[in-house]
Amino acid sequence: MKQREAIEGAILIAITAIFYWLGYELQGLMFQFTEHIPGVNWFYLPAGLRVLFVLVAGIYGAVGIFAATIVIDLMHMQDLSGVLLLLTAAASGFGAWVALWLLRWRGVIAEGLQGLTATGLLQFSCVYAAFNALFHQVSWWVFKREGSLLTVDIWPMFVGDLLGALAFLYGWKLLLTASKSKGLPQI
Amino acid sequence: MDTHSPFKSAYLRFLQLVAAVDEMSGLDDFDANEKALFDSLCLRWSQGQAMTVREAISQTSLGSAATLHKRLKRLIAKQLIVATHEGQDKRTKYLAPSEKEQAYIDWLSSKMQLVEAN
Repeated sequence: MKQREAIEGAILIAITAIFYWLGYELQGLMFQFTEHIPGVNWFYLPAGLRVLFVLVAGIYGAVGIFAATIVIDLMHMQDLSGVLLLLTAAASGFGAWVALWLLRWRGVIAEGLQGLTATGLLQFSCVYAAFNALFHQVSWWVFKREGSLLTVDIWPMFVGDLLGALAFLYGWKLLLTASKSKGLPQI
Repeated sequence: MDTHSPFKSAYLRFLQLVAAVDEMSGLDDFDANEKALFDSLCLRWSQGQAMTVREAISQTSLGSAATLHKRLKRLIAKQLIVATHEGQDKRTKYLAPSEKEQAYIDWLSSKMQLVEAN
């Protein structure tokens, strides 16, 4: 049973890593113009994938995003290496997970997401965007990433993650509404 | 059910997440409050009487008059109901079913028949 759990966990990590990497590439293709500095965007659509993967797959989702971010940073961020690269990947993967942990502790979100409300989901998106921006920028500030300014870059990153997460969730809702209205008369 | 399985727990969480996303406001065409008002109008039509705007906004069990008036305006804007007046008297407006509303009722009826048949 333990072995099966481990295999399923590994598959979840692989799936989330692959889809997060694809999401990042899509972001580069479609929203490159929103880039503030490399790694910071005013609109970051894969933020929605972080919300989805961490809420659905929990720690496996966080590890998947962490793994994908290492690959992404190796491919696209030549100035990141060593501990800074690992910390950036950890901020990317575990920012949402820490936000989830915090909201679980506060009783906003149950472990199995039972009774999750739209308000809870939006709260999670806000807290995640704040943690993600904070973890990234503090890591870059401590390790003196070139061209990074904590007090300036934290805002576009927060706004980009929040907007990306909201766009993703509302896009998903649009799809749900559209799929329902196929069977319903237009009202 | 074995909820220790990462796949199963991920699937169950996904279902919860879908419900939460579905609940998000802002894009709904027809929310639960509007539907409650709409249902009360449908019930009255089924008895062969059209409700007046005054009667519709006086249903305190559904909300205050101001709130119900807003909902009524939204239902009219969505062309689910139409406000008409009889003869020369333009002071009393009656709420009549629209073609869209009829289609909606027909659709609901067909679904209920389907459930009954099964």
